[in-house]
Amino acid sequence: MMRAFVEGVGLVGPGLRGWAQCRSVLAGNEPYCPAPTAVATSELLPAAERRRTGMPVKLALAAGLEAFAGAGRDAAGVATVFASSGGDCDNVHLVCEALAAPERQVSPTRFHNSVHNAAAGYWSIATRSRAASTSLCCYDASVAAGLLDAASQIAVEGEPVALVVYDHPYPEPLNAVRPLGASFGAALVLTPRATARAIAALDVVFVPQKAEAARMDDPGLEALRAGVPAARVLPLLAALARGSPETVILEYVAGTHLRVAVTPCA
Amino acid sequence: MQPLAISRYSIVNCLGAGSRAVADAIRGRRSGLVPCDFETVALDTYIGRVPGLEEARVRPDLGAYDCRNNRLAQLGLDADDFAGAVTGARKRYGAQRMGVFVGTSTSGILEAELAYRRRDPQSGALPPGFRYAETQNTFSLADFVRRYLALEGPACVVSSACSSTAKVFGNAARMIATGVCDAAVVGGVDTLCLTTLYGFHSLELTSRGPCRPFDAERDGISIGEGAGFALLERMPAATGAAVALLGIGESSDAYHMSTPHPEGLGAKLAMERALASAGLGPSDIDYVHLHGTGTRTNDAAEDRAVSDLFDAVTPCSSTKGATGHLLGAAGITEAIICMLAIGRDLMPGSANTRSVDPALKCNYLVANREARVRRALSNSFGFGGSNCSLVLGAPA
Amino acid sequence: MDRQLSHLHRAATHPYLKAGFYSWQFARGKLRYDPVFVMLLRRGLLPGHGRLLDVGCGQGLLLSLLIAAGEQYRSGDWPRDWPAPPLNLDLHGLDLRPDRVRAARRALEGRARIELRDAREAEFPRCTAIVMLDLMHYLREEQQDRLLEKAAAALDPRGVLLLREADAGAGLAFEVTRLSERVAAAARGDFGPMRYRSARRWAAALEGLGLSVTAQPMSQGTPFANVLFTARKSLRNQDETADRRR
Repeated sequence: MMRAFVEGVGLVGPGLRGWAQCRSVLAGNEPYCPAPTAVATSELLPAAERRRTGMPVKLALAAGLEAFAGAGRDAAGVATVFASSGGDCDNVHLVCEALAAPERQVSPTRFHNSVHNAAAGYWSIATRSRAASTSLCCYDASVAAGLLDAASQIAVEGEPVALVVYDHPYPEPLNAVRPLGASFGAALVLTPRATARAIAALDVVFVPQKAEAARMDDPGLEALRAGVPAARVLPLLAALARGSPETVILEYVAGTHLRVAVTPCA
Repeated sequence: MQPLAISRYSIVNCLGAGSRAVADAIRGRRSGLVPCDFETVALDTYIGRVPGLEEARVRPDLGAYDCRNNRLAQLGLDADDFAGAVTGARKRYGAQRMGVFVGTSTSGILEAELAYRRRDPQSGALPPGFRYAETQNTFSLADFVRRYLALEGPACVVSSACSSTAKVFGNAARMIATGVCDAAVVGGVDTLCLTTLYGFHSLELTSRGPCRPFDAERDGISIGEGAGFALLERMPAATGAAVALLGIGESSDAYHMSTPHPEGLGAKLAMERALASAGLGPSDIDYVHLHGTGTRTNDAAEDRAVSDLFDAVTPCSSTKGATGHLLGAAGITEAIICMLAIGRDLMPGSANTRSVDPALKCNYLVANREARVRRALSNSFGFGGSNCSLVLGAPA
Repeated sequence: MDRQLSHLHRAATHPYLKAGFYSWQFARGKLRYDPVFVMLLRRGLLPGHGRLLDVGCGQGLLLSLLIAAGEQYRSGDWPRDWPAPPLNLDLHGLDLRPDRVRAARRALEGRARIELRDAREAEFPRCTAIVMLDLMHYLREEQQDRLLEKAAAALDPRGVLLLREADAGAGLAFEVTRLSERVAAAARGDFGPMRYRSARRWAAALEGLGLSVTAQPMSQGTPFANVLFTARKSLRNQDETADRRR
């Protein structure tokens, strides 16, 4: 078991413009209205970098910064865990496309932005953070992998950690073989002890058995959860939004799951 | 941190398959770099290529995972009877108590590159044989390794460019410390593909000749491919392991996506944190394996950091002149080279380096040196300013 | 909470059965009645990583407690309002009494490294935590100063030094402490003099080494006059997390 406290939450997705605005939708008190994901570019990046960043970086930055704002904490110096099932899909496609053409002209910027940890790199530049950062991939279970790693860092190091999950669809032709539904990003600022801004405690347990993942009640949100790997975090956010003690199951690698007990802070 | 025993390791790259072959090549100061003859790549560069991967196939029951990256993974798992050691550990701990934390930056992207060349002329669709999840997706490597070794515990891939397969030691150490698993397979694989060859070329980071780390005339990297794995376990109560993971330190540069911080601040931070994690000081380290890619900027920045921290005394070198820059697999490969150094009391020199740049101050070894190596520190610094240092050797 | 504490008590002391009945009895009594152990865990005074050195570790009871605490936390049975116990510390202890070291090694079975050494002579490895409980008063004042200097030098910049001693300025409670220590020492055949300082002088000695110090009474539930000093090389700042990673 590992325990972490949620201090801040960030969220950006289709029809989901921020945790503050969406709490009540996630709690089931208001209807969910899908709309294309809209995300602003962060002012924190230097202008030259801002032009080069793609959607995945924007998703990660927007969600992460909202979580830190909610936590009232400076991002500089806080370790981060980034988890995505595909990383920067646009750049990967464009590089493959360029390589299939006779000239094989690969843009240098596209190349270094196509690494799986591009979001982590831009995050550290934007927040001026020299803290450690890791970038994970666990296919559809990337959220669970990210949460497990973040929780283990909390337990062992005793310092705050931010978890940022994001996914952005591939363009065709990769989209047809790996449809990723929609652009989605979410973030949690986690701390080892309850602080003034703590929303809830999460007790995370790894269970080496298969189990059904938690689902969303709203059909639109459930479609989002099932369609976008990063959106597998939605039931956890819903539990935080509802403010009642619950256990959330997250599917992890084949034949295993995470059991997350959510206990709201008084 | 609590030292973790490294009870078995395996290594495959252009120097050979298995520890004995690689150690012999290093002792003989051989380089495995050859002019690039990979696939249809028409670039003036040198590469470190593992022979036979085109003909190799993965185990039939895992046929869906067949791609260059997973074939090399399988070669790595079979080398040094690594898979056999894991089977033994699996019987002791149970399959569910063993984790897989591996790294890769390329994964099976080569399959996607090839598939893009065979798109349907009408619809533009990728050919039906292309299996995204089992080949291209970054997680495919951990999935393949986990199934190949019949393990059932936690797993994921760390993909942070050139620091990936060093950072996985940290993921595994945390999982063991928190009791999620009792032992873990760490390491990883990167393979030759057009993306990295053309990509680094477009960044003007590749050398026209075989790379020459820390050389006065150095002008870039030589890309290689390789696999490496290590089995981490809690230190046994009765006997100490010959080599252990003593510490790990990580940091971010917060500077630029493809250029390291010129003063090596992030690098220095990673090394300091690694030493603190091990409860050791710079004078406790007998040898430093540098990231030493052979680019003008990396070597200069790393030299500043290392000279500062180790007072330009501790012997250090990079072996990328022998193996090439294995990108995602550099971390595990060089950690294992440190383990070989510790086991054989032989500090590797720097193949292909002719004369060390006089502007660089650290105690850089060009020739091999026979000396007691009790503890070593290994550096891996990646794109996006991702830095990781490992401390390996005998526990205090 | 009491149930969790008794479970922890049992898990931490059970290993001492291997060292003999007397060892086990001693461990049970000490862990039950000395408030410092629970205090360390409840307040999260120890770092999660790096190396801990218990100077004058006796039977290694503190180390055994930390091992048991880690296991209990991992199994999920941990007080909700307590921080995680240290999960990844390299545990070291040293003591100059062979019977204590033997008992510690039997009980801890390689999960901590126990050395038979005189703290005055031993070289200290680099540590993120150094603990000295009830050790100083056996030493002459200049030996006490040298030991503190050695500990401060071995301490990681972000590390913590925990020192517990009786407060010589505490009037009757101090007299009780001194008498009880003298009786216990005599029972061991140790008739050497004991040297105490006031809490203020201990704090001054630590500050003189460049450490920032907080002091708290460590006598709850006892008639003694013990004070626990928590000394750090730099002020712990919640926002300065960058350098505390690994």
